[in-house]
Amino acid sequence: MNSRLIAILLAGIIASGLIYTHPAFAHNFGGDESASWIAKMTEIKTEASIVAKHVGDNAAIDYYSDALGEYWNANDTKEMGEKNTLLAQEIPATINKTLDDARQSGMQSLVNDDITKLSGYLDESVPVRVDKDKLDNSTIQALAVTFVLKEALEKYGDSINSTTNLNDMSQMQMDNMSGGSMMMTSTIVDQNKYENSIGLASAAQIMFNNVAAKNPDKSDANTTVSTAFTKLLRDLNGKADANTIMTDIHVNLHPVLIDAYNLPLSSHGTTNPGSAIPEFPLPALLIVVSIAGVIAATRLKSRIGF
Amino acid sequence: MTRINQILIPSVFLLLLATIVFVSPISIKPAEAHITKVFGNYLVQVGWSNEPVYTGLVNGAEVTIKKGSGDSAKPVINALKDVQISVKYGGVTKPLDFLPSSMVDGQYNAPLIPTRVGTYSLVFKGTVEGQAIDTEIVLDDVASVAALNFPSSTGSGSDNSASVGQINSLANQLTNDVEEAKNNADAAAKSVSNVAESFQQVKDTTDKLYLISMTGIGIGIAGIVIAVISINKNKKQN
Repeated sequence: MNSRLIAILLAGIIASGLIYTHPAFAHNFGGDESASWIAKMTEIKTEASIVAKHVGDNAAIDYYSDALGEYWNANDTKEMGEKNTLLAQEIPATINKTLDDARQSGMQSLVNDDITKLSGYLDESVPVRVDKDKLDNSTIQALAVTFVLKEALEKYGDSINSTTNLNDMSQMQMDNMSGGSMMMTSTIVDQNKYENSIGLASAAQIMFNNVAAKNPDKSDANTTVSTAFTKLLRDLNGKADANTIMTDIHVNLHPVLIDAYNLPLSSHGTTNPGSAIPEFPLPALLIVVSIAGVIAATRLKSRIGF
Repeated sequence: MTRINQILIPSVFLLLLATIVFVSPISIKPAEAHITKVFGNYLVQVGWSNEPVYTGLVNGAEVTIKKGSGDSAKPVINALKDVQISVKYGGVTKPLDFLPSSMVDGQYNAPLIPTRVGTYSLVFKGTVEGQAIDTEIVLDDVASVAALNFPSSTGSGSDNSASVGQINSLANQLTNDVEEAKNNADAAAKSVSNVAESFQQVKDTTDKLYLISMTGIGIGIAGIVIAVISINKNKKQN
């Protein structure tokens, strides 16, 4: 009778595992050129603003020169040129001038002016490159936030020399999913990338605050995401381990953002708004646990007295 | 002396007249089509992209913002980030979306086709680098495009009836083309909708299959579990 009861209970666990859907999903965000452009402009502005803190420090300027080179390349100039030849010419020229001026000590004021001018050009490029309906679309805006966060994670991973790809949720350690694990402190091996990651995460936070201000109808989700951003920044500043940062983003931040702003997720190379691939096959996991339980129960049944 | 005067005076007069006739067209400047207004340390220049302005022709409102005064004034980049600009005709207004010019720093254009003859103005609300700009600036008057027509479209006689016939024929052809294009567009939209629906159906089916297969696996494993327990129980009884 007891065995039958246990069997029924285990079958119940298995069945509930099949029905239960966990909020944790592998979120590979779908591509969107408009969101990418908005994110790219924010990333360049962030890098340039950090350049202003390193005037005369050529090693740091070399790093940011490379970073800016990744964000604005010949293809961007070409694409911009199709819409506005002046911006196509001025944006790369101002980036170069900013870097050249920043290599020389005592040019702080000039660098600040360069950055103000560059920010103006970058802001001007957004309505030129992004259609108005997309520019006003909260999904596109929120997607741009996730793109900037992705860069922040990548830079943070590099800064702590992590072997884990922080953007790949499947590489998270599961015990951290609940957020109950102790935070470990990481050693920073690349100070520029570390500073860069915090700059990008802060920029993403500001972007999100702007999005939230325009979407007061999503106040609950906005509050949750805001709290998640605050924790993320605190953990980044506290040099938290990769798993803690991944938990901040993949568990505390992304799912809420996906839900509230209906972010498109990429699945098998296609973009399906609202769909998601279960990251952890929890039903299968429960089945394995159940089988282990049955084996243990049958092996030890005499000892446990049924 | 009198004879000299008789020749000299008309000559001087003619010379003066000639000077006026030949030199004055050069010295007369065209009417300043763009209007500049000063707000604190900022210059706001407005006008039409193409002047003179005629109804029904593609044109645009043009705004240039500079900081400073005179020739030393410098263009303000991203000047309109905190300014809303609307075009006004009579009591009707429409917000305009300005984009930066491809030619000049600090200049912004918003495409516009003026449809009526008369006075249009731009209404500014906002700030440029903290300088408040709340004003209405009148643009050059818009003239009727009829002033450019040649020959006049209001002629008479057999030429007119022939033209009307041609126009009717063209209009019919155009209507047919538009109708055909509309049908094609409808068909294309329907196809796209069908494809999207098919994708959704495939997704739904996949989701259902996943659920069914997992349920099947679960039930199967539950069966195995029950069987193992039963076998063990039987063995124990034997």
